[in-house]
Amino acid sequence: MNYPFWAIPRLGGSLTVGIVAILHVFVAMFAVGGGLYLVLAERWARREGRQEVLAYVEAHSRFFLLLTAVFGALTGVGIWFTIGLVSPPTTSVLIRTFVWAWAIEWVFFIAEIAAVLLYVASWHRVDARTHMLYGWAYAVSAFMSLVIINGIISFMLTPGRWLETGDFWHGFFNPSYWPSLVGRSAAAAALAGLWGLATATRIASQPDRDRVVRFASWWLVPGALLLPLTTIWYLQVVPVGARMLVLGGAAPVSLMFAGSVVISAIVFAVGVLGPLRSPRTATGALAAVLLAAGLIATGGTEWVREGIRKPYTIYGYLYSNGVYVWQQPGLAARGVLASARFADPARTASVSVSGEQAHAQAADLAAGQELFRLQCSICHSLGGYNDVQPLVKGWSEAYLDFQLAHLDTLKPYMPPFMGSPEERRALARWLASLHPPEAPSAAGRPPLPGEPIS
Amino acid sequence: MNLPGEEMWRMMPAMLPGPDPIGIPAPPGLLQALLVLTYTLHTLFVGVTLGGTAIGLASAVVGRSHDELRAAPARLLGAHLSQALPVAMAFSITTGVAPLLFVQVLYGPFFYTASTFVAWSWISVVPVLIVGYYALYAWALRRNRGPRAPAWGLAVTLGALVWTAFALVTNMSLFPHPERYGELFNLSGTALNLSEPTMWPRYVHAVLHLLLVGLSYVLAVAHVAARVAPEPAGRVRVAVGRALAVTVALQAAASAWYGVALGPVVETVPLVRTGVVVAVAGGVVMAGAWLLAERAARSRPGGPGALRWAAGAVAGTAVMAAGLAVARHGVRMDALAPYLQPEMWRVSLQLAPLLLFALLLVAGIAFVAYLLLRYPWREGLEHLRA
Repeated sequence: MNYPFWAIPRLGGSLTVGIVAILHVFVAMFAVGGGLYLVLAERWARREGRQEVLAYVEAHSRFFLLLTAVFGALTGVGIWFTIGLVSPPTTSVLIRTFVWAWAIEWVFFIAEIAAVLLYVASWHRVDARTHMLYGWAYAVSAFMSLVIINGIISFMLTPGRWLETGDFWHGFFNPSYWPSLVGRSAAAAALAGLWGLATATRIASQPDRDRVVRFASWWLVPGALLLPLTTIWYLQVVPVGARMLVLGGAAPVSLMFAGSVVISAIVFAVGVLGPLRSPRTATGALAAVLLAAGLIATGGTEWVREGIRKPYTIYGYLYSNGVYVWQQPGLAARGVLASARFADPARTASVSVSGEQAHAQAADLAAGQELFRLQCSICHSLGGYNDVQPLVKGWSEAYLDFQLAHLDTLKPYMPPFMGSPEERRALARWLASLHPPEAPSAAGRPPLPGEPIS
Repeated sequence: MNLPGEEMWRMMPAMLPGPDPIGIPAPPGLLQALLVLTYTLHTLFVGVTLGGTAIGLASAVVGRSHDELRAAPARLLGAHLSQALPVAMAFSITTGVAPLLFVQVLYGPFFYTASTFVAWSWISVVPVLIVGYYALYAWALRRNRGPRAPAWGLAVTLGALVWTAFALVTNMSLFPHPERYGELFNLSGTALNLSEPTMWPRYVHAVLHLLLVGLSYVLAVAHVAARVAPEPAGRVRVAVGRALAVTVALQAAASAWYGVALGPVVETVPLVRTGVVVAVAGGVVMAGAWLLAERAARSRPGGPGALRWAAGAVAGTAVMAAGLAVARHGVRMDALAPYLQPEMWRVSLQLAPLLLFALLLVAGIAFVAYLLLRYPWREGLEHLRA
């Protein structure tokens, strides 16, 4: 209510954030796991004196740089830009609470970028020891950036004691910090393995290709072992309401969760039982399919993580529509349209006169539309993603009003309706107007007096 | 929890976001200093990237000539820029994160609000830079295989950078002016703030400043390269020196235009005045030192005298960038003064995280310096000879 709104046609704000975030996470996790992959692969190749494997690591490092330092880095900035536009209050809480964590992460970014550029540029130009130093410098810096960002990301679902104390450390080392860190580390290793598998299939020499394929496949093992455990651990520490959404409380969330688990299981099973046992089964096509499946699983997991946070963006503190929990009573008493900073002034006035003037209905519709924009449109669109129209189809104005009055109890992933009873009725009227009752057709209605009966 | 009172929330005028419920984690002076410092660093890297790309593009076009006299300097520049520009771009992006962070901490309510009005141009920066960055790598990788790499990659990169500068100036010139929010309020995010009187002079001034930084950098490279390839490096030095002189003249004109558009704030606000004085002093040092470096290079190209003056000129360029960053900050503070409520900068000090950041920053800089020192930079110089 404090900020204006950016209406993104069709996609809506939440899906836009989701698309950018999923693409970024998929590459950023590779950036974390891939650093260790590079340096361990190089050490292994040097110890065994395998020149072709070393050439593979060099080529892989160039690909790694082009993907992570360009696409990965800029989509990271992209998430920041996007959430700042879609949900300024959430961004502001994260920035103000964790500015020093962001700043520390920035220091690791600088080290990371310097190290990976030096690592790629210094092949054949420095001794092995120095080159490995660059590799380790990158791997450690990249992992440390995960250590930092994990505290901020996990905070959003489990702010824990921060809600009472406002203390930086309580927010950072929140209840889901450790399961999230272990899980993300395992996922980062798995993605390093999947990308490594993809590039390994291009090695010309069959024996060396088999060796590298097997090496890359081993990187899936930590994920296969740890991710089921960290998922259970994670679900143990998240708020009960969030856990319930995964376990059947919201069908789309539960289905997406189940889908992610199944796809992840398939990726691990195929990756471990296939190329690890028989490296020759690893073809470019198989690697591409596994990568695509990895992207879907990553996207699904991120979608579920975002989904179970509903109706909040910061659990128990800030609702997904940008209203702080403590603001709700004031909004109910004073009205949303009178409180919102960037509400349309013409529409703000309309509710106060509804029912008293001849144009009350039109005024209510205008106010209802504005209320939808202010309260609902961060998640719902008209005709696009999470379209509100099919959700209210067939509902009468009275039934909509009842639904809005008990929104959070009937649907635990929805925030309570915020605003006065008049505003609630105006929103119900506008939502009902999206599906006006159809006029009875001549064919279907009973005959009028005097009409012939066919 | 740190919650603002409802009364205060209501006191804010319409079309102006209320203060954040969470305080800022350090004294505002420290955050402002970090903002100016990191922004200066950012403009230096962006200057190298933008200016270097523009020069690279020009030299790539000229270098396609079969005339050896024209092709050799272009080859020298291409050999260096294909190595340096991707690195400069990486650090342009990375160093841009910190000032954006401190802007959001200090001016979040204004910044987020203005951003939504210009949302499309603001968000376009991300895909545009991705395309521009890959185009730069496409050129650099082709260039490493041979000097006749097509220059379209550089043209795309330059376009991306010029657009990005425009989008950033649009937002940064809008957010400190809440009195204009009502005029630009829209839900579609398509505003561009073109009617702001300072927008165009600021943009032209910013691009010329970045070009100047880039030219200064390339000129320094030409002085160093004279040690291994005196003939082509000398030609680069003369050409870039002329371009620098023209840009300095244009920048002086753009500064006057910007100054007139800004009005009395340039003289009456101490921070702005100080910044302008520092920037002008830096510019004078830069220009003077380049003249002396050129003189020294004529008698002994790549000699210690020329290199010393070149180092002085680069330092002058950095001082100029710092002065401009201070002046811009002063202008912003002056514009926001009527709207900055004390509650917006209520301090909730986070001492331990702040100290940890300071410690890691020092350690990080030292560590990166150590990594850089282990790299065989002399080989890069030999690469230019080839």
